[in-house]
Amino acid sequence: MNEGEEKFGQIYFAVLGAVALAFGAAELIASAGGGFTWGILDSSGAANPLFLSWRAIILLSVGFFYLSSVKDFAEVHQLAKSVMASIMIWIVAGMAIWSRIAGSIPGEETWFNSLDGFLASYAPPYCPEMFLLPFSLVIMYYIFKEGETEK
Amino acid sequence: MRNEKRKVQMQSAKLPLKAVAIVALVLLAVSSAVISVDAHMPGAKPLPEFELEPISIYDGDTLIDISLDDIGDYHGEICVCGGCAFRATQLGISKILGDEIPARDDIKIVSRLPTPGSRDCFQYITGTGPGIETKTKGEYKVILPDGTAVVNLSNKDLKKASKDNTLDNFRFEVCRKSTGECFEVVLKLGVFSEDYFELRKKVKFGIPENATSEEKALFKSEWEDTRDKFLTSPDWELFEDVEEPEEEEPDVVGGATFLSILVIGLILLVALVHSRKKAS
Repeated sequence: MNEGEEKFGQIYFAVLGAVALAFGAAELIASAGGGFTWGILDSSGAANPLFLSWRAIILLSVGFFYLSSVKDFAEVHQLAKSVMASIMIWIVAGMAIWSRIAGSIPGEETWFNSLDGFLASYAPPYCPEMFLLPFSLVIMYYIFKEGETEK
Repeated sequence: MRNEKRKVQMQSAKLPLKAVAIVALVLLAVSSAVISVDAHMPGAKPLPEFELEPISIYDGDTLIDISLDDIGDYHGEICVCGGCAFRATQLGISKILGDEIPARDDIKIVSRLPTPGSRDCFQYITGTGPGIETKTKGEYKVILPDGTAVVNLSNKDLKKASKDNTLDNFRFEVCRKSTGECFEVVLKLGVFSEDYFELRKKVKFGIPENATSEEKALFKSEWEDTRDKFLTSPDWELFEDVEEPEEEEPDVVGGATFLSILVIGLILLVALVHSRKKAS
């Protein structure tokens, strides 16, 4: 990992960490107040209100891990923190996506959903982890880079 | 001699006691029979499953929730008129107050329906009925569609006044006394079947002639269906001037966009991992 890549990683994951922290705080407040839906962002916890506070704790941890990994980013232990934070996002977002996939197949009163119903199941709003998911994938680049360096 | 006298005295004392007991029993039987003719439907099928929000009102500084079950307990059963009156009050309050909770003494209900079921419901809500523990009282009046005020609200007088009931009687004005705002709740045509009121007249009053057993059975089934409508149908199906909420169109485009991104992302990810593996 060269200096430019390290600098970019530091700034990128600092911003991502701050965003995750903000989302976590919002979800924590939302879990205390019954949840909210703002545009395409869903923190209503409609499916499971208990899950909302759990998600908030995960997001806060993700934020802390990203932010704590920023200093000396190229060091493998620091990078591992970012990897761990990304994996946490993948797990929660993966669960959210999986529940959509599972829910999109059966119809309300029939065995299989209509095409419109199937597509509409993937419509917004989305939980914060799903917004963070594509941005967290950047860590893959650093994982590959680290692998190359080790070789 | 003295013993005989005492025996006669005891017998004469027992006689009125027996007579009183018999008269009381007969009266009880007659009164229960009258009530069943007046409002209740003997042998009616059980209530369907229903979810109706209670009516919340302030009785002084105490917030109370009045459910349809409370009305049913007060009246003796949940009947067509009680169910209708409950739904009408709910709608009227929401129309004039929105989400605000009214004070009991700020509510005025003018009903065109002279029936014991609706009377008990409105009296329970306004706190104007007998046997209701309340700190404050609203107002409840019965004014027939022709403008005649029904002053005596006894079962007997209401029964007499309800003989010619039609759909026109199912109008209820719910008012906020402090502001003078009123909303007239009007029942939709079609909630009652076409022959409902004709059958009711025959079954309950024998006008123009006594109902046959088939007509009685038909009336019972129509009564049950109508009662169930008041328990399970939405407001826009029951009352005039209530718009059906628009069903949200499913966001197919949004969903399709997300699904496309998800599929493309997955393909790219698999391709990336595959190419990396190949390169190594």
